[in-house]
Amino acid sequence: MTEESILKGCLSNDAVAQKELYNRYSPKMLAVCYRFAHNREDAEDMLQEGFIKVFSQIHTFRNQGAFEGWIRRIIVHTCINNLKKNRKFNESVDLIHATAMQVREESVPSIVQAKQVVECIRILPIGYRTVLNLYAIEGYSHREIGSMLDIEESTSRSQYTRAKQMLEDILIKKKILQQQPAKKMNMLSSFGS
Amino acid sequence: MTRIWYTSKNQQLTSVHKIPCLMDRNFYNNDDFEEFLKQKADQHKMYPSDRVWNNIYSSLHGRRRWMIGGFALLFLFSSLFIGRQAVLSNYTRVATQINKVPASPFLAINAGNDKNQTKRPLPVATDLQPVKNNNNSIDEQAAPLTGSEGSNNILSEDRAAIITPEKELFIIKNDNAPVVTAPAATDHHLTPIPTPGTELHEILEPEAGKTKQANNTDILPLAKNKTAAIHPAKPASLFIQFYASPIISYRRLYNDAQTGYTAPVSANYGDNINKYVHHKPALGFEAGSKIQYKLSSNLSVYAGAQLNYSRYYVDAYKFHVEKASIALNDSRLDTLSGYTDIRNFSGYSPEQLQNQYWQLSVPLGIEIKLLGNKKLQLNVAGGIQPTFLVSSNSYLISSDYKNYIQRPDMARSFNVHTNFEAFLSYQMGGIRWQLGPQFRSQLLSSYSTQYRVREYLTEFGIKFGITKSLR
Repeated sequence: MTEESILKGCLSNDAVAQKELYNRYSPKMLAVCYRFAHNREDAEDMLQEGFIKVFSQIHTFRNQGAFEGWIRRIIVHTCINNLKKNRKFNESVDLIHATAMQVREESVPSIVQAKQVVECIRILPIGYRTVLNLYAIEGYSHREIGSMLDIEESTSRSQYTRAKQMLEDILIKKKILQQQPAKKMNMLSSFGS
Repeated sequence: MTRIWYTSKNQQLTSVHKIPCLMDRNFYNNDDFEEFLKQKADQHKMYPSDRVWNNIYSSLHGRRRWMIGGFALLFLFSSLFIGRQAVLSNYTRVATQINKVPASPFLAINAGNDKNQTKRPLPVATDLQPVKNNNNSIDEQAAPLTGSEGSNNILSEDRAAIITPEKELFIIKNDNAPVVTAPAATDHHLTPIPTPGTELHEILEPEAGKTKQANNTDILPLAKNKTAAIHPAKPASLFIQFYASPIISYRRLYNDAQTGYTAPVSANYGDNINKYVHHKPALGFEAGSKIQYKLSSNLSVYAGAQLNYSRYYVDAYKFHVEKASIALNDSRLDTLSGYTDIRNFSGYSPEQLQNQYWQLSVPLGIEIKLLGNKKLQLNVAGGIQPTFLVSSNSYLISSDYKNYIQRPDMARSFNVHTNFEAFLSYQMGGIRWQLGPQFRSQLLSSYSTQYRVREYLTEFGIKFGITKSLR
């Protein structure tokens, strides 16, 4: 089915088209939810809520951008609302507590590639993780993040900086990122080009 | 100090990994690091469990289905109730019209239900007792005049009621008493008749000095000359039945060979799909009520409302999440695909799936008495049942028969069933009890015509029911 026919079907509340849309985007969107959520179960709940919103608000999609991006925004907002509702988010945005946190190597799960990076992100305190997810991965500005999370723009910036430092530590400990001599970098750069 | 960062797995480097960011602690290329994170995150995919889609589907479509089902049920029961009321009020109107026949001193309402009574001679009143009438009017709805079986508690088979112009109700005690006669009515009000359940002796309690001793000569001349209407004893013709039955469901599967479309996914296992699936029957139930109208002593027709819960088990296996495709009988859509962790043939561990259907239907049919007398009968019944699927939870087999996948949207909303039953019935008091085997078969596939595999459910059960006459 083409995206256009899926969209048409969803607009007429056709269950087959809705299922196609869900099949197409749910794996990516569950990964988005998982980065925000505490566990997989919470992530699935967020996904469910998000897709119900997608189907019920699909008539508001104006075809002025990517359909996936539109769905993704709804899912991200659903995740944020969910975190706020549970109050776990506010309790976790404690900078002092967060910066004092020690990352233990054994807490990093031994999985590979993308999943490995995502699991490393999930080790971050939820406040840091949320800001990092929104800024680095979802592409929101600090101003937008500030209004989404009801925090100052400057707070968002500082949290992001700390989150990045912490993630860096985790990635080094897990040996996902390595420090290499400058010449090696040049070689890699030549491969890349 | 300048530091260089890149991924540890050089052999798997992609353009993303090759970012190696020039990073100084707290002072490195933010864009590259963020791009690295973003692309890694985008590569990550997770497959939600079936529960998520089922909940989404129920949220989007389930409520509507239950609402439609609820309204259908409400409509049916309202229709039955209104129909019953209409029948009763019609009967009352007939009685009122009888009362309006001029120059008839008496109105007699026969209470007997024996058809033989029509052959009896005209009534001979042997004992006539008045009933005091304190109310000059009658509420036709509240006190319908009924003369049929089961609904007249006042008048027994050997009695007839007479309403005089003085608005007194007489009960004629007479072994032969069927019938008859007419009121002389300048005033068309009927004497109120007690509601069912009122004790007869309370009604018949005469007031001092008002008792009339009637003899044959008092009534017979009038009866002979001025008979307004003769009502032969009429057996009850309208009944209501409530029934329930445990049922077990079997299914038959067929490949849709008529399709002319070519699909990208096809099975290589031959034609008979039943060889490749394993299912076990499971217990469900059926419950409902119906209104039955007796056309003759042996034949009646019925209509009603019925709820069915059917299910069966499918043997399958748990496996890791993989893509499954369903080829469609539709040149536009061609194929549907989805992700599932259920396999038909081999997997990590055995898994028993359960396919379930909630259905509302309108049974329409006929019932025939084969053998028996008034007490004990052998009957058969059968008919069709237009059916609405309220809810379903079923697994469809993929086109290559390898996987099972949930697609509630592929279920057919409207279907048609046939049913056949044989039962023994026994009359006890005012209620007829029945018990017997029944068979119910689905005429259209459980799934939409787009799905190439057709499923037909067959159900067997032991039905238990009670029937009561309405008039």
